[in-house]
Amino acid sequence: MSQFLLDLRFCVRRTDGYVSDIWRVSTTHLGDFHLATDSIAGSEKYSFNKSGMCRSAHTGAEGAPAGLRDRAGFRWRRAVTPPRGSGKASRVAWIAFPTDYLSRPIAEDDADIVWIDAAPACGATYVEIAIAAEPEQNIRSVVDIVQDRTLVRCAALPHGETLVIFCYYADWENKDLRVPGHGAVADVSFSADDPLAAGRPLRHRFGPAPTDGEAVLLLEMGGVAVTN
Amino acid sequence: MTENVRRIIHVDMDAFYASVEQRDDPALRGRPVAVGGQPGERGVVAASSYEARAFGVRSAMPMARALRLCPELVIVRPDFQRYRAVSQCILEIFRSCTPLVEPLSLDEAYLDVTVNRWGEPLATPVAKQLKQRIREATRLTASAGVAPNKFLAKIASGWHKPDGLTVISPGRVEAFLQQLPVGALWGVGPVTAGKLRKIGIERLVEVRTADPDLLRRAVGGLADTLQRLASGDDPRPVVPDRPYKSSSSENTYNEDLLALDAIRAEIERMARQNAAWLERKELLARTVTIKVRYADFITLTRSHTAAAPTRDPGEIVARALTLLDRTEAGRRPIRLLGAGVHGLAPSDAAAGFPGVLKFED
Repeated sequence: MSQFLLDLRFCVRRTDGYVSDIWRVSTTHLGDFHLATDSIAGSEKYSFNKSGMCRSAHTGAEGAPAGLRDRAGFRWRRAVTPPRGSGKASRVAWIAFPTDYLSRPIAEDDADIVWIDAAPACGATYVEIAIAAEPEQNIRSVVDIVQDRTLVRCAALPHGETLVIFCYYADWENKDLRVPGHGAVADVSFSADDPLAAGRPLRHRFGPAPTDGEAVLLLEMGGVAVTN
Repeated sequence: MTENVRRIIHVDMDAFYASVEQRDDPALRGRPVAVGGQPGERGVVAASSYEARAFGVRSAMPMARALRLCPELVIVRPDFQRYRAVSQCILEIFRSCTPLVEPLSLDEAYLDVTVNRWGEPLATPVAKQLKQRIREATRLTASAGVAPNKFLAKIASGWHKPDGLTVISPGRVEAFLQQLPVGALWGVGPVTAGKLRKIGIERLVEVRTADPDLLRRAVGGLADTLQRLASGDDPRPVVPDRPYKSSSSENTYNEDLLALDAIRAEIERMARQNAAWLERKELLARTVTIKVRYADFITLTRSHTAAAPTRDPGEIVARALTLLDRTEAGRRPIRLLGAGVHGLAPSDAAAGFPGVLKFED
């Protein structure tokens, strides 16, 4: 038997092939679920325990990556799932992928990946993950009438809740960023124009630490190391 | 599960009246300009150029004060016919994109572009194109705010001025709200902001956790709306051809008025104007209001609401004069008078109302 009930990988892709990082959503037989992607510090992982406790962490195949003494990031308690029949879901994570900051692909297409079409230029693709006490059939019927949201996947959790992943497009103000390396490492420039034509090979996520009751909110952008 | 994402744009022309004047008179370009009445006539600033704003000159400021702040100020009399013509041109640009255009005044409007005639799936390219078309057609700049609702779009359009474009994506709403003072809330003017500060609310987000009873005591029926807006929730639709809510007129006098007969004559003249406006628009009004500003700038309003709406000039004048009796007119010098009608109803709403009178301050 597989360790996971759901093991989904998704990636946002533009028509010209530019992509986001590949993200993985998995659910366990215990009712926990995880959201993860690879990063320069190993695997970046967000765990949502059935009890409601959540935590972020950097993990590697052999535990904490070298250089990270404590692999735990932050901990919080997710919002209580609205009761069945309320017609509501509780958002646990949302990730914004600004279209003009996607990156040139470095790997071949993978048939096991769910490809999500990117929003048009000046937009962002939001992927949202929510938990509902409704059965999958009810969720599908609701999402069908919410025209601007596309259901990516519904997955029943063992304790009767349902994990819902959907996406939609929103406007995005393209504001370039430059993360200083303070001389120790190169600065990283996140630019919609990609003036070095590097294809924004460094993908990075920004977001505040969630507090109790909040969802994880991440912004993923592609950048390039610059020396001056 | 979740509400539909709406794509709302608020477009605000930059220093509109003053910019039109600077556009049409090259001698005014680069100079501090105020559109409004002359200081000797106790005029007020209707609009000021950005050069004038650098000196602290603001709309609604007495022109005499504006001149003290900026002695180089060039004062231009307003030409509303010309402003209306430019405004009409801008509205046509808006309506080429969407029929859901809600003008707020000559120089600002909301647009709902969730579905639009240009076939753009997002609002940001629409806003960019609107700004460009306005610039090409009028040689004027506009600032735009893009957001999921009207409240946020309006705040966004004022975020970067002039010629700005600010986009508030759904995931950025909370971070945006965290930065705002309570005065940024729709419906919160200086007086209400003062009341909120008195109960310890300085920042917009603090309204969310305020004690509902305390909030209601401070701002009355506005409390629920403010709590909703403070969470970034504003379901108000963009309403094209919004019906009239009121009409009023006011006048600041070159010399203070002290003679009661003259004051009554002025109130009567304005009340008759209100009645004539109701006649033209085929409307009736339930509420008559007057405004009095004494020479020391203390301002008060008095209003009278009747159950039966009317546009009868005699009745409106009589009610306005009755309200005037509840002021110190004739005993204190007055610099400004105003009269207005509110609580409008269509002409066919007159039948069946008992004649109950209720006075409100």
